[in-house]
Amino acid sequence: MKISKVIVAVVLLALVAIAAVAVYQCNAKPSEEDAKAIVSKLNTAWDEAFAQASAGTLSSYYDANGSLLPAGGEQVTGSQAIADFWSGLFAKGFAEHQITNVETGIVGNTLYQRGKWSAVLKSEDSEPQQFSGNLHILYKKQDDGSWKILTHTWN
Amino acid sequence: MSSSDFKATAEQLNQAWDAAFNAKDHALVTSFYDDAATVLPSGAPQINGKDALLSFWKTSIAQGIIDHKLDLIHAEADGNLAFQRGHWSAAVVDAQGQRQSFSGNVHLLYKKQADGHWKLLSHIWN
Repeated sequence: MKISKVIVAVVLLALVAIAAVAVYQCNAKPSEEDAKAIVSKLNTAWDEAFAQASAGTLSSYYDANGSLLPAGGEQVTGSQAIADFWSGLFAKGFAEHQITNVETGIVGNTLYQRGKWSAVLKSEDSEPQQFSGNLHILYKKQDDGSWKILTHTWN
Repeated sequence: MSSSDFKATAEQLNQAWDAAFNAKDHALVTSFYDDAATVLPSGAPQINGKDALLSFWKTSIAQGIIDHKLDLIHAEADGNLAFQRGHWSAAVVDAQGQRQSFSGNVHLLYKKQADGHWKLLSHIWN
């Protein structure tokens, strides 16, 4: 009897410890380092989809209510319109998009980065043209824990 | 704070920002930014911090930019962060008296301050 009580006590203590760790992990705030690592992966995936000229993959990186705020164009909202926007750029010959992160912040279910972008316009009848500017991307955490773009602004 | 509440707040912030800019008060414009704020201008490097922002807005106003107007399209708040996307427009009058208008998209990210006020954390336009 005595031994089994000890075992029960040990098991209960272990469960309490596991629960405490789980609660701590759920409440622990992701550090700026964690946010940087998340954003670095998101940027690599975004640039990779652009390199493959996959408008469908790119549009899958946006929230269902995501918006583009393009330089020199009207704002674009929603998955289909966003896919069409990137298709249009690929048809013009835009390639080699690169996002360079400068600063990242994370608060609750919102993540943001500011950075720089560059891309190359390749067309048959002219030399490749380099474009670049500033960029701001705001992400919203989805129910499945992934991060999707709510706004994407550049100049 | 719900997003509809923040929309009303953002409309007020826009009016205050435009009024300060159009009154050529660069210090008041700068007071609407968080201490760690960044402005991401079109065609120029990013600008960080109050001192740099003060001189950026002073220069912009001295260049003769007038009639700045922010028009909200959509605003949302999530805890202590909020954003709006919208349109901006402004004008300059050249030496010959010709008025030129400019406009584009704008995105504003806000951080709630300890005193409950919202200040700009980033401001980008094109």
